[in-house]
Amino acid sequence: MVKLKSNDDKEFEVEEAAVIQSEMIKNMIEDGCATSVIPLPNIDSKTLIKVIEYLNKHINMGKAAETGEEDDLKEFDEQFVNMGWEELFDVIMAANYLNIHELMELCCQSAADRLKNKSVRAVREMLKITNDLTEEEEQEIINDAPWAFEGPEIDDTVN
Amino acid sequence: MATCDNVGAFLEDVAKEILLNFPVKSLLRFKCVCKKWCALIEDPKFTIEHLNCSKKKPQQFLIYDCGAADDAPAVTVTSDYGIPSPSQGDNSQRFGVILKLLGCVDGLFFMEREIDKGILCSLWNPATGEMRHLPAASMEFQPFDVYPRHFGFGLDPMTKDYKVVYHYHRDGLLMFKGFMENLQT
Repeated sequence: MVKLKSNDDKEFEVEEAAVIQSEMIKNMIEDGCATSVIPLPNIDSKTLIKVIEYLNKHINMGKAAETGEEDDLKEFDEQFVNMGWEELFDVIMAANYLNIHELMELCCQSAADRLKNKSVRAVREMLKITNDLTEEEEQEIINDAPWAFEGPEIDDTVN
Repeated sequence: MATCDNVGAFLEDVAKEILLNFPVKSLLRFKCVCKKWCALIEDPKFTIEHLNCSKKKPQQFLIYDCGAADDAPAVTVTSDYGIPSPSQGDNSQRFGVILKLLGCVDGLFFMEREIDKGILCSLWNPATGEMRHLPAASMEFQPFDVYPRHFGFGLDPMTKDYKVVYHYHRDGLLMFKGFMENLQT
């Protein structure tokens, strides 16, 4: 078992087979620099619980293909990303930090699905990005492909 | 929610992962989000990565409505959402008489059209709506040439150029090149 510690000082025990899906922790263990408790200063306990839930479910991924549990895993993934926007954002940050490729892919796809039909304004707000383009530059981009800024699917709400 | 410092890091590391999953229409719009996104989306390396990502996803449809009434131009439609109903015309482009449509190669099509009694050859990217006309000035096509024209269209894996080969059954082989590295696919 490996112990992980969140930035709000909560400890979680995870099976090594599950935790090595994180490239970062796998490298730490292989290089012998994993301490008895691995501190994760960028991840809060709420997010870490979600990540561990994912790691535990995906621990037997290789076996799933043999036993026909792929559908079960697919259903789990669909349910898993069914969370609030801010929560998803935090899981993405954690997956990126821990270098868990499959989790990153799953969450980025979900983020893209939620953002793809948003207006430019809504995307900026959801990702807290400050616009640094001048009005002229912006107009030029719009003029290049005005149709990309039109359509019934474009959604200006932030959620 | 992550702190402001994290958001900076988010832009560097994660934005690209998310951007790779967007359809082309969203990418063209989100060039307006900020300078970094604009530079990233316009980067030819990003285009290639996005193409490779798209190849893993369900295929899109190209619908060619050759039954357009009277003089109405032919209509083509692409869609992310499976086959659209005819009323969903927002993604459609209209063209004059299409004599030949070849493809697709990496989402690109070769199109031969009759325009003002002349022939215009173009490479067309339906996802971006971009159209590049080939330098056909040196080739004098007539719409009703006695000899049939033959075209081939493909990717040269050595030079990464998309090439069109024109074969006129009498005069042998003639080749012209289109540089398409900046096109989103």
